[in-house]
Amino acid sequence: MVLRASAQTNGEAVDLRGIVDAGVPLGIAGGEVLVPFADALLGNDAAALATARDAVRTTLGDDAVTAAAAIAANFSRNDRIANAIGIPLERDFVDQAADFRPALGIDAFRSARNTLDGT
Amino acid sequence: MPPDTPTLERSAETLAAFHEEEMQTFARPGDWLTGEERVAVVRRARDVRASAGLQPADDGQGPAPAEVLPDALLDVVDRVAVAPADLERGCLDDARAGGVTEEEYVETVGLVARAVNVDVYARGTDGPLPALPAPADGEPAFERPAARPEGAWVPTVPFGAEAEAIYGGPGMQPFIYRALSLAPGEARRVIAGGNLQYLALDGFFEFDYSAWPGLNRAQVEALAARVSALNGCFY
Repeated sequence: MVLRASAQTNGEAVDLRGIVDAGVPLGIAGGEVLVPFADALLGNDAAALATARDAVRTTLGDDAVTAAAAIAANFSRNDRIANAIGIPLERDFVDQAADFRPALGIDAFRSARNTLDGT
Repeated sequence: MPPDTPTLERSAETLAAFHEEEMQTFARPGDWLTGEERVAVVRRARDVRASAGLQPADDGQGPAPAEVLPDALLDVVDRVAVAPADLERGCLDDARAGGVTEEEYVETVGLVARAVNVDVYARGTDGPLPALPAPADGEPAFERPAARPEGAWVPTVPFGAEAEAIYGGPGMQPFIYRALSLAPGEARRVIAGGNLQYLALDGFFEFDYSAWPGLNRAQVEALAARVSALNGCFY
């Protein structure tokens, strides 16, 4: 929901399928280097990570590498907390994502039960 | 920037300082675990992630987790550290059946998640893993806050004076910041980390606002969404 709103603020037409399918361009500036960086950072291929990091630096600059690592790390933490504590998503956000969640397969995440079983 | 947004400086230097603080908090007695137990949790998280190829191995300093922690708690660490997308209610239930209290479970989740944050950032920037400090002496606080069922697997603290003390201010916090409130020290550190590494909450609905030099808000949210998809996180 926030991705869509912030992209619209930039005048960008985001394709949310790119969140769950790295083969689909997200449609935001720099998405072509940020998604591979996230994938490599959460994966186990050190060489792929080095390549992805260099691509972020070349395309978006040194500050972007720091920022991208900080954001990816922040959500690596939050996702673990959310999934391990079983917290449900706030009602407003559930409703605002209802138009795209099923098509993206997000409702099939194991953690989706923590929210959808109570709705 | 929203008018009430704290002017936190975001840079590699401020992040390095915050992550060094995080490492020091791991070594101090917590709400429910001793310093030795907390360092053993982080030691174990680092070890299993290194074994999975998810981060480089460090110097291996710290207590041997299997000599400090019960098997049921080691299992929690392993699951949370390596396979967040697979987490289900059974993770808590198995821990409880193995003698782990829900307060110990919450504190352990917080420690693992915060350690992963530090290490993912280091790997992302190709920096060194911060050293794991020696455990500090002392007893945990052993003070349970007035939590109640709010829909998570464990009770949480919704609002009131005790909530303000934990969360650092009035007003209802998002669930992600209330999730660890059975271990208030962990909850406080997660909020501090979110304010620095993501954004302060009063800027959340300012969709053209990014706290970070180098990335606009859509780029920040794209990263957040992709990471959460990879981690199987509906929240």
